[in-house]
Amino acid sequence: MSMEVRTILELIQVFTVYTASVFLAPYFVFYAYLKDKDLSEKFTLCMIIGNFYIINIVFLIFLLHIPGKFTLYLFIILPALIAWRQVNRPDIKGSLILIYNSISRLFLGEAKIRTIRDVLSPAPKKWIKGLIHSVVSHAIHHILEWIMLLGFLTFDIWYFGYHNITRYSYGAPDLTVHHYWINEMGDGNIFCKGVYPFGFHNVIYFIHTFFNIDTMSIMRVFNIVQTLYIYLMLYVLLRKICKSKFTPILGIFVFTLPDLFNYLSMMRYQSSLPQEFGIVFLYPCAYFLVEFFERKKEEIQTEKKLQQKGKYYVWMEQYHILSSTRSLVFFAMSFSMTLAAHFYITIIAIFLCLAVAIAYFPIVFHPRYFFAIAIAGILSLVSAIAPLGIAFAQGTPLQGSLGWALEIMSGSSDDEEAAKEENQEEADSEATDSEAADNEETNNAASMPSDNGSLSDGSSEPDRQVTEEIGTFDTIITKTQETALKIVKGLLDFNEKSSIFLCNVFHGIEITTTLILFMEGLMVFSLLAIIIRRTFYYRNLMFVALYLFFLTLMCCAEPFHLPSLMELGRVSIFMAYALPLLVACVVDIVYWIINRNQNHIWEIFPIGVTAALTMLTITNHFIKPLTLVYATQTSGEIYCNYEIMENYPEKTWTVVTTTNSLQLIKHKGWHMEVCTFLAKMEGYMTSLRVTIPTKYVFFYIEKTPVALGYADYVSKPIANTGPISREAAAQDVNFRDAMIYNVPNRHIVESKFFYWAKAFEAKYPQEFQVYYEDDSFICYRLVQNEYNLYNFAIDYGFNRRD
Amino acid sequence: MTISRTNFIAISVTMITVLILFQFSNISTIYTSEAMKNKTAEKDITLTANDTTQKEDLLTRSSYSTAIIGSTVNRESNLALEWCVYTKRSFYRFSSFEEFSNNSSKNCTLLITSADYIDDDKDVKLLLRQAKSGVHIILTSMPDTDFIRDSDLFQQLSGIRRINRDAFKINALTMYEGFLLGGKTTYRKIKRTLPYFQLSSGTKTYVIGEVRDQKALGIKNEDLPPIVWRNHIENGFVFCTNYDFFKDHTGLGMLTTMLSETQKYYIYPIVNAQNVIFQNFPYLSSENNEVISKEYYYSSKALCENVLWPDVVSILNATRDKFNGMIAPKLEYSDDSQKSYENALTFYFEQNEKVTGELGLSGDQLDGYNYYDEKIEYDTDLMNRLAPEYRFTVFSPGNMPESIYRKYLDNPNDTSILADIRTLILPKLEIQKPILSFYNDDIVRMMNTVDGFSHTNEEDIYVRSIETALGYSSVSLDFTRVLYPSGKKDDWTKLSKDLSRFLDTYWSTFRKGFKQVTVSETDTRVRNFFAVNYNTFRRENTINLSIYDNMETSFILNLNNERIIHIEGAAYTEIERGRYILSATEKSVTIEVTPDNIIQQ
Repeated sequence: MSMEVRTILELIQVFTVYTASVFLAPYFVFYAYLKDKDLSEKFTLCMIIGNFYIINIVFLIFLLHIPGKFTLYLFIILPALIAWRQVNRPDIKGSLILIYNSISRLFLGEAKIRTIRDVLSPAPKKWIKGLIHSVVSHAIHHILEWIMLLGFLTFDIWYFGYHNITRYSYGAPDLTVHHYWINEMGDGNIFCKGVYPFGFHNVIYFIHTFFNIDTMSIMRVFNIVQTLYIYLMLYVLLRKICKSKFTPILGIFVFTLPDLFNYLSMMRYQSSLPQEFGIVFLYPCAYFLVEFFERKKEEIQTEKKLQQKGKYYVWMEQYHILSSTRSLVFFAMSFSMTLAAHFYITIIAIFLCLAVAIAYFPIVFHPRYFFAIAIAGILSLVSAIAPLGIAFAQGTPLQGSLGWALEIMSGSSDDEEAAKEENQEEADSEATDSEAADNEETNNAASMPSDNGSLSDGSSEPDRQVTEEIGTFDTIITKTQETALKIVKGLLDFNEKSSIFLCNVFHGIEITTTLILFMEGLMVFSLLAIIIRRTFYYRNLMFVALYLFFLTLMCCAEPFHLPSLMELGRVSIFMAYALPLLVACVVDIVYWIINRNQNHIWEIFPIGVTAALTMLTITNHFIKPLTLVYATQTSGEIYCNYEIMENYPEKTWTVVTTTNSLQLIKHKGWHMEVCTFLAKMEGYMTSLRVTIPTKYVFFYIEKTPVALGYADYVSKPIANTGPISREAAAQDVNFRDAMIYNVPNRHIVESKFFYWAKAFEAKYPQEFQVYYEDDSFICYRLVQNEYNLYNFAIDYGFNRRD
Repeated sequence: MTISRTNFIAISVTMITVLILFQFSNISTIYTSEAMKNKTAEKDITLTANDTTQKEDLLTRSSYSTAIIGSTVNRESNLALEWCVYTKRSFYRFSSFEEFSNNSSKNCTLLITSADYIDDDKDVKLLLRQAKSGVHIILTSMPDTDFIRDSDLFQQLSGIRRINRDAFKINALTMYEGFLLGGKTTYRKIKRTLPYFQLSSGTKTYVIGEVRDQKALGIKNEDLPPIVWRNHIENGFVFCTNYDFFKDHTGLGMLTTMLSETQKYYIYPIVNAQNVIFQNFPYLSSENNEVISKEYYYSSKALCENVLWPDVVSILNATRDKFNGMIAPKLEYSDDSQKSYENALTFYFEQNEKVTGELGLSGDQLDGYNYYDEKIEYDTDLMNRLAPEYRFTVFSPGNMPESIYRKYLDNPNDTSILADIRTLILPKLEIQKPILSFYNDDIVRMMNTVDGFSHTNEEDIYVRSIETALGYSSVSLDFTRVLYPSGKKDDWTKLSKDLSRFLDTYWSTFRKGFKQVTVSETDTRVRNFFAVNYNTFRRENTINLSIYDNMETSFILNLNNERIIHIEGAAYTEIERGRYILSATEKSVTIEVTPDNIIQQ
């Protein structure tokens, strides 16, 4: 099977099992609760429930020190079944009795099989009919939405899966670290390198263990699956905010097709990384928070009406969970999962929630809102931090990268603090000066009456009054003008600086300027609209604008001398992900203005805009090109890993290669580092011996060594150091260092390895065979007599002792 | 109760029909029986020695492919020569390295020599030069350790890094998979004292000596005393043997395997025949009755007919071997009182027909040199009288000296029972003679390869080696042991159990892979084997085998880490991983092979 086909099949497999786990299974369990909700809400709820459940169950079995396949099955299935029974109240006993009676009748000859079929089939028939009806009905009513959405998503699958299908390897070097952590979970060891947000790892571990899918297969394609869900979450949030059904699709278009974003904003989606997994739960935070406000408002209104009608007893709040509370619970779950996946997502989520909170000011401070939100926030933090805290309390230290992240923040903030202090000093000095001036004015003003008083003695009262009024009015105008000028100047300064600095995120000053103007325009418009109309729609627009504003500030922390919470490369991902919200909201305003009568015909406007922009993007060749990807492994190496794992018995083979494949093959075979291998025969003497105690030994040699960690366009050949050579093989090599497989040492190592292989092949021409070869990679295979191993230590011309 | 006439007639007719049907087969068998004729004997000899390739045809001084260093009395060189005849390799035998260096051949790809002929570093240099130029070298023995210690060149040639001990006791011998047919085997009863060498990297070991208390002595598997190994010198391989495998025919299969190891593939002809020969059985007399009666409570004749024969048939049925009985009308020809039983002869001939076996004549008698002629006279007279139509084509002389039977076989006007002989079966003991050869132009001479009542470690290696080289075995079962027992060890119960388990376990691999045939069929196969002329070449993954003279021959194809995916012009059986028996059906055979479990691009 070719690797392309294999990758596509793996993608289908992983997408199916993940979707079944986090969408279909929760839907089945909470069917009674979800059946009346619209599809986007069903989808969001199921995604949150499913992921939250899986992540925390995996945490639970590990913290109870009972990891394993059986416990995973037990802890996943049993509570789900209980919940299903509690929520849906199925008549299990009745069904069993019916089946038992039917079978008994069949065996006793009292009924024929046709009769039994007629008795048993109505319920499933009805269910299938209903399912088909709902699918067909939904498809008919939303056909255009689906076509447009699936069209863009198909492009996304191609775009973000191109690397996976053509190169097969991981798109980022740190994936091997995450793979290692997941492998360690397979060995019953969570937080093997310290406490770290393991949400992503828990999900991969779950898929691997529950469905028996190889971790390598999951990790290779999971990025496509999670990116699809990232897109869908964007769509779902826009559906929540926007009035039009089609402006969300415009948002998807903006994030999908045009070449707007810098490579930093897109390249990480090509790898299955925890941060990108966490993005899935970012917008649901806003989704459920907004939903909470909406529902709370409805509930309060309903409550008031019932109170007015004297039917307050109907509102038995104490006897049922309010839908707003549920929204808040789901908000808490989403928020906790951002923390469970990656701390950076939580930082962004905090700003997102802050934007919502400001947009919903002053409602948010209403006791009935505020305390509920506060409790939800605390609970979400507790639920996310609890597993990490327990592990920490059990003696597991913090993972190193957490310290690194904190250092970045604290290190930057030190600088920023210094800058801030300077600014503060300047500001303080300015403030002191202005205060002094003010005081002087005040003093003058204060002294004026006395002066005036002394003067007034010689002047008329009305004149004095007119003069005073004119003087005051002039001062106000002057001050207002000055303030306005200051604001305008500050705004222009902000616009200029941010437009220039955002070019690190977007392509071109035009885009960034437009973005800033849109953002500010949306902010002003929504502010005015809130003042005038006070509907939640405008508050939602406001929160989008504020969210963009916060992200802009985060991006432009350097020019504005603000504390840097995260590096620009990371913020740019969120900035790019937020842009569709802005564009969709702006277009939605126009739609809303022209469609005050709420006539569906005006949907033609967002459809037209989307279609026109799509056409323009295509005709002007403005489609975003394939982005950069890191060089990690050759495609041949991945292919060989698969072939060997599938065709050779477990633990009967060893692969001699760099560390890249170590985690990929860990549970199936053995691994020996090429540097260890070569180092053992360095300074060759006849007494040296290097043996590998397995029947089959494979040697992976890069003919054009990979430039590890170097990024290049995915459409180009993988970044490499050029062909191996005798000259390189003759150079001094470093076999013991953290950077031994980086440029340029890797080139020397691979060159030596190649000439070792050639020398060994000459000695064992029948036994040492080429297992696989392409332009950049060659794999040799040696079949050994396990009882009498070959001595691999030979003089290959570049390892003699001088 | 009455029965109607019609019913009565119907029942009677049915009963008669059933009776006829049941009896018909027996009656027809009696009437059509050809038990007293030798159906397996070929009417005419189609291939004589002149039609085959013999050593005279392969001997060439100018364009030999195999150089053999050794004199005519040197066993190892004789064995190498015999092997060249079997594998159709042109050869020349040189008495010394000096003679060889003066008569080099461009076609030479293999040099076989005993260490006895390596006198000094000059000879070693010559060998090194040959190896570097691509000639593979087989050293059938090793020089003494002092020579090796002093000669860096020889160490370089043989891949010996150092000599650990000049004499070291091994407690067993392990032969690894991929060397001789039969897979990995450890021979725990082989105990020898041998030089203990430490090999350098780049070598491959095929046979090692096991050491008692290996763990306690801290010896790794790779450091166990090497017995047979290979070293690589630029373009050639050097095979070394630190054991006396080449003292007898045990070296034959090793030569084949060593040559095979130098190539990606190797095709060579084989006999493809497995015989089980019962010497002095059927036995037609009733001598030694007193001892037999005491032991078995039977007369000799009754023991043979009622005990031995059913057991033999039962064992052969289980192993699917063919019965080849070498008749002994009598064993004591000095005693005229004991005659051969006519009914016994009829019994065995009929039984032989039922099991589709073959009967030949045994040359054994127990009364000394003077009675051999009398035996032949007696046997001739008996068979002329009782089985005049049976042509005896197979003769197993047993303990009859060659000088006796030569008189009859070489006499064209001979009218004795040996007049029609075309196959001679020699006992295994005659190690100076080839395993397979022509006695004269017409008669094929085959040697027994193993005693069916015995299985020692050395015998096992011997059998495996012959099977590897020729696909041939001849299991000899001398029933004199049963009829004249010399102790408990000759008890038939024990012997039959031994025979059964040896055939069914130790030698089962070969019996499943190769054809189990009668002696006459083997004779035909041997003639074809000697007569065949073939050529092979390989283009990428396709091997072509062209058979010129005689296509009714089998071949063995050895593949190194490859397997057959398609074949035309032959049927094939995989006997071991990478080892196939090819039975050609056409003169041109095309074999497509693929690397074993390698990614095809």
